[in-house]
Amino acid sequence: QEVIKGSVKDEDGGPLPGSSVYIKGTTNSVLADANGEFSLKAAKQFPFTLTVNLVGYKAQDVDIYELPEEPLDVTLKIDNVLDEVVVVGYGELRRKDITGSVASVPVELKAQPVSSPERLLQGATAGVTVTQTTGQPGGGVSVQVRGNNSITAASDPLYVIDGFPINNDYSVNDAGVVDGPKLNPLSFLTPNDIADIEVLKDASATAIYGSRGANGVIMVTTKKGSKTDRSSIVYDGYYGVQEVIRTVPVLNARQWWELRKEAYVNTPNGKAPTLPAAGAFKYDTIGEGTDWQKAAFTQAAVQSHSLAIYTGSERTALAISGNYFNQDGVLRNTGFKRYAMRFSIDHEVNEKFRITSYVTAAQTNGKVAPNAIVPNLLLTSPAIPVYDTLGNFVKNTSTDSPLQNPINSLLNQVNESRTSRLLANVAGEYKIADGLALKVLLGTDIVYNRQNRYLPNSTYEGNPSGGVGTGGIATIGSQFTSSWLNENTLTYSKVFNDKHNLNVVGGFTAQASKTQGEVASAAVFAFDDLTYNALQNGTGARTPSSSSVNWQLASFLGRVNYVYNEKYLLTATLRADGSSRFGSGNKWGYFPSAALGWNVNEEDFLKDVRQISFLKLRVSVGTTGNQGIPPYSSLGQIAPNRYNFSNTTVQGYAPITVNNPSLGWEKTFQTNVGFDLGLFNNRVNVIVDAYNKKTTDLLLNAAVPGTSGLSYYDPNTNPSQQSTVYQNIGEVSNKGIEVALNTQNVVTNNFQWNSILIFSKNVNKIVSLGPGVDRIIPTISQPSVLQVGAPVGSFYVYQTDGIIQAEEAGASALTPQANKSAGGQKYKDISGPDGVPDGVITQAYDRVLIKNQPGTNIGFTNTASYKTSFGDFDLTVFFQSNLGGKLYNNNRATLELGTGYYNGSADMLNRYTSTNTNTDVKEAYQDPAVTISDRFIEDASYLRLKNLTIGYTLPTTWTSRIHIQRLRIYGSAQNIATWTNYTGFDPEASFSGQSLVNRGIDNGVYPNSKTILGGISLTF
Amino acid sequence: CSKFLEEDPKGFVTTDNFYKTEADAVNAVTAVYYLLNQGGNGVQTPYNTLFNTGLNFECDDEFPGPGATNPDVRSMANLLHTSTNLRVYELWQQHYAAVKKANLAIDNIPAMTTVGDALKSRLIGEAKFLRALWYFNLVRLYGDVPLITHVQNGVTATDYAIERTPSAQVYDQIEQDLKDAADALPNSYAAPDVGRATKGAAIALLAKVYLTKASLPLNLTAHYQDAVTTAEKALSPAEGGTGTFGYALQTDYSKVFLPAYKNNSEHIFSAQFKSGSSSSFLTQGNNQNPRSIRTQVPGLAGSYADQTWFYTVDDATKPGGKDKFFSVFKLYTSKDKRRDVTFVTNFKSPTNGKKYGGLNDPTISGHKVDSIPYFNKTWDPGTTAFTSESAANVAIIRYAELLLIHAEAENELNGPTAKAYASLNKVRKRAGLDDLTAGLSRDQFRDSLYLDRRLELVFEYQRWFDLVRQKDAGGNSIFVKTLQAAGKPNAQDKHRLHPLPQQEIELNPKLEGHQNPGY
Repeated sequence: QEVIKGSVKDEDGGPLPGSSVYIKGTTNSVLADANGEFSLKAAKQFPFTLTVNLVGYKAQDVDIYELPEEPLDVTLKIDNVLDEVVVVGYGELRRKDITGSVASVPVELKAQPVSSPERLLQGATAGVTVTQTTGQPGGGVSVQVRGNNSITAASDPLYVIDGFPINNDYSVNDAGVVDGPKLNPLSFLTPNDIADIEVLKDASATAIYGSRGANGVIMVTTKKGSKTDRSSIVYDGYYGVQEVIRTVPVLNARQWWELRKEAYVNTPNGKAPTLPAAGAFKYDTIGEGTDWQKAAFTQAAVQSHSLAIYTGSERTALAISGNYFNQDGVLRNTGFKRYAMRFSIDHEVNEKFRITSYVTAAQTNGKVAPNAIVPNLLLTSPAIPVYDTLGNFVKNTSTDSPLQNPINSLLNQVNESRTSRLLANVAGEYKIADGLALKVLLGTDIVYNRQNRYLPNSTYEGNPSGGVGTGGIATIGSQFTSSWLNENTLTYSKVFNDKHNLNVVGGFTAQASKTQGEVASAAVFAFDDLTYNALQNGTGARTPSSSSVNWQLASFLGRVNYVYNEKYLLTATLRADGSSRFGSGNKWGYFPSAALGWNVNEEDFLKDVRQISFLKLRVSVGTTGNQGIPPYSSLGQIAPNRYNFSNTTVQGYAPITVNNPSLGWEKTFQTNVGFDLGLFNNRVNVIVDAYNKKTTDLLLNAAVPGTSGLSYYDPNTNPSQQSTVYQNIGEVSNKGIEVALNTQNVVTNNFQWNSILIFSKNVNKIVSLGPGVDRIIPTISQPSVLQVGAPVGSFYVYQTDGIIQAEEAGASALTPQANKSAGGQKYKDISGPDGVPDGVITQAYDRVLIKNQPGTNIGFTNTASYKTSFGDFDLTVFFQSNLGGKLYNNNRATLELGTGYYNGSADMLNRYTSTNTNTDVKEAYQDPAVTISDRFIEDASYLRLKNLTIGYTLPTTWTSRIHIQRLRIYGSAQNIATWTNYTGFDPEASFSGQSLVNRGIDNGVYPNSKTILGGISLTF
Repeated sequence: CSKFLEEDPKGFVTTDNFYKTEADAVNAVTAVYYLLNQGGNGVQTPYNTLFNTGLNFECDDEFPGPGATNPDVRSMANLLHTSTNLRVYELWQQHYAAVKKANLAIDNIPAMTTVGDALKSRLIGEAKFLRALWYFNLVRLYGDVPLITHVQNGVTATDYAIERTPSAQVYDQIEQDLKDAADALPNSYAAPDVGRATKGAAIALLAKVYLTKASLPLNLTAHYQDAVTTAEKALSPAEGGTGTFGYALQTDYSKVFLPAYKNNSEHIFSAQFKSGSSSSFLTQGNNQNPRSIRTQVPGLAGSYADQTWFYTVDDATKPGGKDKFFSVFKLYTSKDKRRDVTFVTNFKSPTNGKKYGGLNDPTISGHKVDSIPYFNKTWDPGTTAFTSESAANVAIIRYAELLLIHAEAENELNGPTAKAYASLNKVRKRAGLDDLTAGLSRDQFRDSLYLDRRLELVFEYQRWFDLVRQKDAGGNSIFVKTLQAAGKPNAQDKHRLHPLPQQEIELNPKLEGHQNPGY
């Protein structure tokens, strides 16, 4: 049998003894001797692949087509993450040369089956808090880099996809018709297409994005073709089943009826008797009744199929991919679909001129669960059947205050959002001289959103009176956003005297966006068959609306990177941004930053310390900005004010906002210190950063006295109808520490085990809310508070103090509620107007501050791979945790009302009665108003087995026979186990969307699901 | 480049481009009326349910029903509200929002050269009338309030720092505005302007202002004379006045409220409501209507958020000598035609024709329940499918009240004279009642008059103001004892004024330390 001989060397030509050499797909292996030489038996069949491996070096594959006549020379390159090129704003840098804080999503976590790419950041990058705010398929994800700087301006990071800063505002794919969680504008991207995700965190890294950099920048790089003539066709697909993580235990019909009767008896007859007429429902003989949650939740399929072709030639690289993604919701009749295609080309016209272009086109269709559904699943009386005796849906499900039948609403409402998005750009790069290149980029981002909604006659919300042919409300809306971008950058990159490495970028960019939308609606349809497709059939005319919003941004930018002798690094950045959103006197902002780095391991005194492979110290300082407020916020706006005379509608007009020409940037000043440490040939890598951010001149939609007369109602921006003006006041600080630890625990020929531990902790604090303002309660009826000295998202609530006992009952009982009898909820008397407890519980003096902010983020990933002669096995176990956050469980507050108007939680079985006095659950009583208290603030800490994947890659010796380069099959489970004390559906999918202020309130959003899926990954 | 960054909104007009044309002037004044109706979807405005949840519920006629789940509303109904109460804030803020719109018109229109003098004078008169109305409410709700008579265009909170103005000064402004309005406004309007403020409205409201000043708590009794004199300027000759406005009582009490007869000769000034064809976003309908309708009546959308307040009174004919279900409903005598217009005890389903009555439950022993009366004054027979589209106007001042103002002021001034009897009996007669017993004392007459005010004006946002005003034979306020007797044990004297909103105090340093007593 033939023998293959060869030697393994490093880049300097030195021998690498101990290198392992083996034939892929077999157990046939050998170690190189002291001279780095080896010989081993060839495989029986050509061609085969020889793999050469050594710890600390990059594995090298050698394809053997026939027996070589000369000994093979195999050169291994040092496996140094520091030599990897990282995408930063307007350029690329070696990781080694970076002075700022830039985190990458580890390769181990990039393959997770998620619906949109930013979900990959969760638990994967230190300093990034990702919260899935809703379980709605295609729904929102809240991403915050190093806490939130802002209070009322946007706090999501800027997303830059292949150099194009895209509009990530949730309004971009919301025509304003759909009721329910907003769909995620990033869900048009196929996670499979993503090659890398980098997070720019400190001022040095983000200042190049100036006015949009303060909330961090997420740089997404997509997969490219390669400039070789090898084509590969890759298919990735999976199919899985999802299920709601948990349901909330509530009373059954029999138990509810007992509660209701008790509430009736306990309440003095000041209230009207409110029980339903006898015979309407036979409650006294009822049993379990309806389990609304069981009726609404279902097992739901999720599947994704991607096909990509990566190819190229000497001067051209080409990638084409397509994706079909379909996720049904765990709530019936909800879901999300994506059809996406992507095209990227990189072509060298000649030595000097290069053209690159990327095109992404996607169609996403979401069927959204209306907001009221989930709360109603819990609150609707179990004594109400889903269907009446004739088999029709019961419409009005409540026995007193009207709730819609959630199953009827879920199945029969039309509530859908369809978005087409085209993201395309083309860039030409011309090498003017040695080291000097000019790049001109032109791009466009076009989003068309269309939303349809129909509330049929057969539902309560579509026909509250229930008459024949009196209802049916159809609404359609569309919104078209087109934006263009032009970037012109000049890059100069040169090494002088082998010691001075200089990289300079300068440029000018301009971006503009135009959004036009319209909503039309009609009501009163004789029949429901045509839903929203024939507005002209409706006899009830409704006022249509249209809108137009433009914004523009013009910028100058410059950056200098200087490295001396591979040791000392300097980065200086300046960006000047002019934004249309600000007042006429304050359009331009200037955002400088500077950073220093020191590659200590290059110093002589560390050269001989073999354990330390790499050590870099970094320090940076700089200012970035935020412009995330709605356009036209600085202008005095005249708004319509309707009235009617002679029974005819007339339109009046009056200003609703004041002119504020001095409105300007929100500025974040950030300092960062950190180090990167590589130990034992970089088998252990540690990155530690500490930062201190101070955000001043907040773009605060600040309250002004009601005597200002400024009041307007907007369900999205100003639901409380408070008097506010956008001003630059207030200050917020964020301090934090981040640790990323990456270890290669076991590295042998056939077994590898890596761990990644991510830890980050941010402390947010409101420093100032403007002169003389200590506290703002944004919505009076909600527990959230903005308090100087406390984090954004804290609570201001009553403190409960057990149950009113018989001897404490009466007019002086310590409660703000109507029920002052034994069994009522008792509260702590904190203070009175004179600063001492006054024997009464009042909103003004007896509420306490409970600080709250997102807790400590921890991600812990273990990956292992095991090679055998019958294939390779891989295992990923990914735990994700958030510790210390709190949630106000609004559902529970309503479920513990004990009025009997709604259903109660299972805890109500332990309520106070004359025979059950030793309890902390108050008695049944007909006072249907929640009192906001600490009782409903729960610890939302959780530990979650976020992902468990087992994969098996078939040996190439088997698959090559059917012309398959690689075939991997895998099974995966997401969210399969969650450890938490939180009593709601899920501690994560409970946040109030993007609102920073109310994010600690669980209002009953679409719950999260767990998934089990199987997939296949195939490369031809 | 600076051009590139300029904002040129296409979807709205900016303040720089307004107050130019005659249409702008008219539209600016229409906007002052806006808060009489609806501030937008989901928002309660004073005459569109806010006075109900933030005022009526505090009294002895009404209470939040099962459909009212707002804790602020319920605590207010139990007189447990404090300065942080949402409704306390909303009442304040919406009145000032309306004042601002009036000030904008009053400040901007005089300089507009595109508007003719006659129209200009009328428009300013309308704005002044409305400003007076809003301040009249404010001063009664909160006592001393910041008096703002010119537009403020500040940006920061401190730009709006202004102290409380003594209520006497606020009343001076109200009187001046009403006198100016009376001089400027026409007697009446033809379509399409019916519903705008008239000269008669300004005079009638002024009479009410004088009567209020003469009553508790200000007790400036000299103004009873002004009230009588002014009321007589608006009363028609048939009622002994000199008014030329053609005001008269409707012969049928139900016609006062039904939308088919809106803006009839009894309506001096009303908040205008209009039905749409469905519950649309920019509705002009009266949202009060569905709130008082029982839930689960097929064909009617009712939320039963407003219910009659039941309380316990002594009644020998009932078990235990107590009537546990006493309410304002039972104060009407059987002759009184007003009861069955004001209330219904069952709703007839437009879908199946069946009648749906009280939500009582015979399965629980010991509760033999009387009929449940539901408020029905905003009923619109034309919009049963969309009950929130009721076109029933809300009377802010109507002729029956003017007669009662006249009777009350005359009684206080000269005792129960023939004039006082005549005005009160006019109202009683229309209700189907006999003339009031002759020869009553002044105090007896007053008590009877206030009872008739309650029965005549129930659900029209008058009761709370009357409870604050009314005095007993000793000249003391009846407020606390009346409410406590009606099953509201938390009632205290401090509740005669609302607290200044806490948020307002925190944002306006000039209010700090000037909260109303007891809060």
